Amino acid sequence: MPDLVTIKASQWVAPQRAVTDSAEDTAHAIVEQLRAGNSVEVDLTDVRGVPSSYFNLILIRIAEAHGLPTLERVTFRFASAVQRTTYERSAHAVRESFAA
Amino acid sequence: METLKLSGSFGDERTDLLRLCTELRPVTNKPDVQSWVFDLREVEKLGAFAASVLGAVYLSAVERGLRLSVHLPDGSPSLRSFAKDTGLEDLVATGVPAGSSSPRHTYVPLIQFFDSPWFLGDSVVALLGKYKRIDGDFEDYLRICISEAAQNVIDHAQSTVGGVMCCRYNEPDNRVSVCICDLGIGIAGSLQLGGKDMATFTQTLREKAQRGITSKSRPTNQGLGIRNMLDAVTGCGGDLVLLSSGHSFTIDTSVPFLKIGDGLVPRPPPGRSQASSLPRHRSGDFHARAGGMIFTCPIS
Repeated sequence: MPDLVTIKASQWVAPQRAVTDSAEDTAHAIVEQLRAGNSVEVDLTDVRGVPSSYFNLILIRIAEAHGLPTLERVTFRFASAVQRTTYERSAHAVRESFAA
Repeated sequence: METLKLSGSFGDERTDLLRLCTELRPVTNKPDVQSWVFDLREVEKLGAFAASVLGAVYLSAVERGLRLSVHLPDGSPSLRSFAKDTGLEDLVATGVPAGSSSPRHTYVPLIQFFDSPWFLGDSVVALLGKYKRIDGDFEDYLRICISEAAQNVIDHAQSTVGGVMCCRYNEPDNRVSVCICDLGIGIAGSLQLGGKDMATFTQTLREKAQRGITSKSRPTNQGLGIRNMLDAVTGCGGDLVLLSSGHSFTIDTSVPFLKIGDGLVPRPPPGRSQASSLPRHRSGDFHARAGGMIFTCPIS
C-alpha cells in the first residue's frame, strides 16, 4: 500500500515569485513522490488567490511525467470553495486537452 | 509640446473608463510628439480606475523617453488626497510607483508588476481589513480575481510597463474597486499571435468567457482566467469590465454571462484594462451567490 505524503504548497509561494515558478517547484515535488510510489496530498490551506495557471501547470506536469490516470493519486486540500472550483475547472480542461 | 487637458468626472464607472481611455489615446498614438503636458487641474472627480490607467500611460511615456509635465488636481481637498493616496503624486515626482503594500486611507496606491501576482491581493485585503472583517471565501474571491487578471497581463500582454493596479474602498457604497491595466498588445493581439482565427473580436471574447479560448501564450494555458474572474466577480454580485483594443465588455449581473457593452471606444490606448468592482452590502451580513451557493460573510 503506497504511503500518503502531504506537501505544503506554501513552501514554494513567495510574494515576488512567478506563479509558474511556484507551480513548477510544486509539480516537481509531486512527480518525485509519485515516482517513489507514494500518493500525494497537496495542502493549499495557507495559499490564497491561486490562479488557474498554477493548477494547469501542476496537473500538466504530472500527466506528462506519469500519464493522466496518475492524477487519481494526487489529492488537494483546499483553502476555500472557490479555490476548489478553480482547481476542478483546470483539472477538467487538462483532462480534455490530454484526451484530445 | 502638446497639452492633454482632462476635465469633468472620471469615477469608477465603465463609461468613465471608456472616456478616459479615449481621451488618453493621443499620448500613445502620436509618436512624433516628444513632450507632453498632462493637465488634470480641471477634473472634478477621479477614482481608482483613472489612477491605474493614468499611471500606466505615464509609465509608458517615461519608458519611451518623453518629456512630461504633469499638473495634478489641486482644487478640492478630496482631489488633492486622491493624488497623494493613489500614489500618483509619488509617481510624478519619482517616475516610478512607490510600490508600497501599505494602503493609504481608502486606496491601495499604484503598484507596478511584471512577474508575480501573489502579492497583489495582500494590499487589497489589508485595505479592507482597516474597515471590515472579511471571511476566507470572500478573500479568496477577491484574490483570485486579482491573480487571474494579473496573470493575464503577465502571460499575454507583452506590456513593456508590465501591469498597473490601483484599488479603492468606497465606504459609503461599501464597495471595493480594483483596476488592473497594461499597455500591451491587447486581448485580440495575443489571440492572433496564438494563431487563433477570430471571426470578430467581440465573438472571441464572448467565447473566451463562456467556453475558454486561449491564445496559448504559454503551452499550459487553458483559457480559464477570464472565466474564473467572471465567476468570482458575479458570484459576489459585482461588476466586471474588460476593455481592449476598441471594444468594451461588461457584466450584467442579472444575466449569467458576458454582455456586450453599449459603449464602444473608437480608438482606445493599446492594451487592456480589467476593472472589477465588488459590492459589500451593509446589512450586517454579506450575501453573495456563487455557483448556486449562498455565502454569508458577517461584517463586524
